[in-house]
Amino acid sequence: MNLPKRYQANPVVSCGIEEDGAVLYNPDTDKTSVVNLTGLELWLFLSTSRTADEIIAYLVGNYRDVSIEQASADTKLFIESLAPDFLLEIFDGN
Amino acid sequence: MVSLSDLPTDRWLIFFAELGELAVQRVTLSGGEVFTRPDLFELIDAIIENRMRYSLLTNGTLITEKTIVALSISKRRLRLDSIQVSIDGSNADVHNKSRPPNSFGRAMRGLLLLRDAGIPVTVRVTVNHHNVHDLENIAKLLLDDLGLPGFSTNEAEQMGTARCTGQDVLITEEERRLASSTLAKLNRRYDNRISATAGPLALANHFADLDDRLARGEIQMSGRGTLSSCGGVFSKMAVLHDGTMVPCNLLPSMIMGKIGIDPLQKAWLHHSAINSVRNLTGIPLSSLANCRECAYTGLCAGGCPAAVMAKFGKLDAADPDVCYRLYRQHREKYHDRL
Repeated sequence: MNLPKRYQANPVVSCGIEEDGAVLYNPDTDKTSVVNLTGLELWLFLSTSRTADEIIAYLVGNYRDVSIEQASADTKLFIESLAPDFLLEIFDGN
Repeated sequence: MVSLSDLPTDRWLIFFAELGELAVQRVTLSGGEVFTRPDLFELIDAIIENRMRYSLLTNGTLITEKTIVALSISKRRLRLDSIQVSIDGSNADVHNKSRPPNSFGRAMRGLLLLRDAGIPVTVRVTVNHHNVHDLENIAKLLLDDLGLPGFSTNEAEQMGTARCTGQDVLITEEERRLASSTLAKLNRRYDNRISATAGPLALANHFADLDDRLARGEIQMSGRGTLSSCGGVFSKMAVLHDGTMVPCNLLPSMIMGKIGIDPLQKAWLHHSAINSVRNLTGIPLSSLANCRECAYTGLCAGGCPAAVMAKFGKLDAADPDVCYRLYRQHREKYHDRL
């Protein structure tokens, strides 16, 4: 059985917290990404590895006006924006 | 050897941890000479451990095969942005006049070791009184003979090394014009492989750009018209060898505190020394006595604050050495258009 992929904040990435979000920086790849306050919250949530479903559940549970569809789309966007620059680590579910 | 006023290793390690907490992205280690520190790689490893990248500025003389091996360990190579080696002449006679005695051969050996190991190495040529007639040979050495992708230039100022080596390295106004003209020609010949953010080539590029803008009828540029030359203080600051925080290593008298005693974040955000340099961008050139009548203030940014401080002992002035109006007045003295 294939288990779902797990996502975790890359421990080499620094997180510069600003008033309206954070600057994530991977010194290995010299890549930077800016996230808003929700992105920062997800980043901190991913200090331990989570599945996409766990991220979606977190968003739905913590933001009253967010639907599952919206949370799914936001989670997909969050992963897709951070993973290519190795800001997130991705673990095979198996 | 570590001089008495250099901070010991543990103080730097604590400081690098503070930088890491603040999510600082880059550290540049300079000198003196960084490779004289026996703990250099311990410091580099601490920079890496605290999630930063690094660069080194060196005279190159202490780089050996062992250095190349040491640079390949763990993430030292991955996190290295560049090693900048200073080469100030095409031969020992010229180079050694502004650098340590008998250093040319060792500097070249270090440069070649870095190049051959594929380490990102850059070269800085500081234009000075001794090499102003050697620039063509230097370009040939670095670009033709060594095959480097490029090199950068600046100018010896009344600060930094020049404070130690004396006034004899400083170039005259006439030598600056010659250097500007020579470097501009060389840069055209070598397809823009020579760069500069300050000094004679930067000046040549700047004046040529203003010539073109005026020819197009432009009398104003975005971000000009005030003392706005220095953008550095908005993204970086310097810490001297003894832990003194300053806005820039070229402004060593503007003390912002000591690392390990004064919080870096507070100094960075609130200290009057660095904010006084940042606030220069709010001073219109038209408010300065020497610039009031100038027709080109809308295209000018006043020059490097450190150069101004070295010349006048204050920040709120424009540097006459980068003055376009004076350049126009003396244009006939140039050998040709830059």
